[in-house]
Amino acid sequence: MKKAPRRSLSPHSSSVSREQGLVPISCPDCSGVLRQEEEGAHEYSLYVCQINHRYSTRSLIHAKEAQVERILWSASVFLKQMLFVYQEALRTTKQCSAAERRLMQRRIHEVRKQSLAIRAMIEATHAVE
Amino acid sequence: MPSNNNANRSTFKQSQSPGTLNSEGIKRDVVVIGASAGGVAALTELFAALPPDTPAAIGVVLHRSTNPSGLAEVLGRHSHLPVIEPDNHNQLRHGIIYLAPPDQHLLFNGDGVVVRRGPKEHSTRPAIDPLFRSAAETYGERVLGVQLTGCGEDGVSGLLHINAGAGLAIAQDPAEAYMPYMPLNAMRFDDVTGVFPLKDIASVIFALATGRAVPGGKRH
Repeated sequence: MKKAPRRSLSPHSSSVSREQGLVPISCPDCSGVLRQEEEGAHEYSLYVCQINHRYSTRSLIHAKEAQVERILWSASVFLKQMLFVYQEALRTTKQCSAAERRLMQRRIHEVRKQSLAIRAMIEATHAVE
Repeated sequence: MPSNNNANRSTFKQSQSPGTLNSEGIKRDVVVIGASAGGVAALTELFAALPPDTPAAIGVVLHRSTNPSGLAEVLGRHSHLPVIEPDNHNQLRHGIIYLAPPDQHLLFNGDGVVVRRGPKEHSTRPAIDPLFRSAAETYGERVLGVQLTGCGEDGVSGLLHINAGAGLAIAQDPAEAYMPYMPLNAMRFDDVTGVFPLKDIASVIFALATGRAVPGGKRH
């Protein structure tokens, strides 16, 4: 079915929406490449990925903040799991030398501190919604 | 309902009388409405005020969770027009309110009313922009876009497309909206043609659907 003729949305060109090129930001939904477009006389910014996830500047900020928090929690849980594995290794491994045990205990101490630091980073964040 | 094949109306805005919507007398009979926070109350009030003989097909996106709910029933409780969550390929008909189902974009395209689990926009599905864009691309000047209460910028790009297709874009008066940001962003980026209090929007929709001119409402 034929589409209705349309005026250009671009403030700069006759194309419907001027592609301003790729930006060094991945799509929060699919990790695809984002490109920035501007629409209308007020140069409204849109970010569109290769499969057409779309974001305004604000909704991109919101999605990226959520992504950062998800990744930080993910790092936190990896550290928790690493702590468990080191503690299990110390408990169950009989052949460890005293030097190896000291290294593992030092790493357990580091992991605990890193885990607390990540949690503090998450809790101290003031994301703009 | 056939799509719009009319000539380009690129001078539409300039030809309007100041403060008047639709002085050309075009029937704006494809109405698309977007709402978010505060939308249930706003849509309930709007639907209750729409006359049963409203000569327009009405598409509605309300941001919602992916869980099935009785939203269509809730919104239809005081509505004179039936409120339905369509399946694919329903024919677009006057006198019906099509509500975007959970986790689906609602589109008014050349195939009629279509629902698609397409890419999320602004991290949400259903989103307002896909409905507004699809209606603008298919029905051009016949489209009236209405931006109601809510947060964020979903709908802004869609209203730009409606404007580009020579349709009309209006917004709820942000001063009275439960959440003013969606109407405010529409006013900031879209050059909306009119801003109205919610109590007047049903009569504006009816008048524009029948091709009448309407005083422009509060300007921004």
